[in-house]
Amino acid sequence: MLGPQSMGYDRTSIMYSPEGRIIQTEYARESVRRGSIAIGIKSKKGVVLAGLLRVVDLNEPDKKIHKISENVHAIFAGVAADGRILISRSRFDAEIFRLTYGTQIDIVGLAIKIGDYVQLFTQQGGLRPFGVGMLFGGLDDTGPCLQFVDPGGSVASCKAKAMGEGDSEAIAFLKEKYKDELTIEEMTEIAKESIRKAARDVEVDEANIAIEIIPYKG
Amino acid sequence: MNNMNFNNMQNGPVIEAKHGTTTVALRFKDGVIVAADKRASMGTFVASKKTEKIHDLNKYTIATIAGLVSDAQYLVNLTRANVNLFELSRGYPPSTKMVGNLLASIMYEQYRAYFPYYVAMLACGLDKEGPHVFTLDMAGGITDEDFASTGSGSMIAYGVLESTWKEGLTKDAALKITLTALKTAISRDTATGDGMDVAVVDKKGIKRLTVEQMKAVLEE
Repeated sequence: MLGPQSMGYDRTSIMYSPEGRIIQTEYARESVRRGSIAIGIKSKKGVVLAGLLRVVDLNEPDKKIHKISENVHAIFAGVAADGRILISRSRFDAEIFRLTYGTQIDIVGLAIKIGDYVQLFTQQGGLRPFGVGMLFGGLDDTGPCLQFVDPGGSVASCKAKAMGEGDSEAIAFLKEKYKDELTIEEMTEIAKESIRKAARDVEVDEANIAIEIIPYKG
Repeated sequence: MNNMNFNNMQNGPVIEAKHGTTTVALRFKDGVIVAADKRASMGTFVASKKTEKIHDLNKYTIATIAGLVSDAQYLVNLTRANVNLFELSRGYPPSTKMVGNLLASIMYEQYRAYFPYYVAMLACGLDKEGPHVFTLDMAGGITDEDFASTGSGSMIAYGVLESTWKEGLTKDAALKITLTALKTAISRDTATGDGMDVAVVDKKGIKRLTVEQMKAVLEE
């Protein structure tokens, strides 16, 4: 008896396996797990995004946190080129929204827009799903907001999230430390510490952590 | 449909149809008050005596229409559709500022295509920033005003508004000013008349006045 993978159900994202799985999308999630760790934490006091900068040879490390608009920042883990496409698209969508409605985009709206785009790649032939997990963090009319978009296109509202290499250690740490009343300083410390937990044998210091602190007054 | 004569459109009888109106809106301490007459005119002919010119866009935002009725009704419906889609995906309604700017974007796009919507609208309401009275012209311009008026009787209404409006009005004082402005326009503009609709937007949402309530305000 042949297993589903040797039957070729993992060859394309437009075909379910007999168990109802989309195996290509699951592989894409593996690709996120190979990226450098990215963390997001939210409380009533604001949002903190943090990530580990991975240094390859003598390259300058890639930027880890990207500004999308005045009120939104994004961080991703996974295939850098795929992430760059989604970052450009997010910036574009945020500007289109601002031009149309005269106010900054809401983070749920932005995440849904990007989620819709990512989802196309799991249902259309000849396309490879995005190999990135994406976190949008920032402030809007609803207050502090943290949204996660996964390679399948699903959008989740998060209190805290870790993705990338060592994410299970980081998530275990976040679960242990998370409270609704965390201050910005506490969240910053927790973010840094969870990156240290995830990094295992890599030496973590101020130079290879990227961090964006977004306080909320209101 | 076979009898439609498109030549008439060039000389403007269709465009000129039904654009006599007066709508008035002003900001007070806790919200906005909006009023409009009920007459639709086609030149000197009164085409309708019970036109609804105040339309709800969401729980805290209303629009008034003046100009070509079909264009205005379409814009109101289109905006409502957008507002509903926004609220369904986010779980909360768009702000008055967003609704106003959306309308302006739609109108600007059409203006740039050489076929503007033949309307002048007011988008008014209350959001987190406070009360807003947005004026919208057919070229897509948008301004946030203390008070505004559109339509053929607007010059007359502006006279009353300009001389009596001030910052921090109470609801009762604001109602008196709004109704007086509209009543004056009804008296002196032939394309304005047949009664009025009045709506108040405050923290509790949109509330319309009954005829008795309007009479009481004017007789005070």
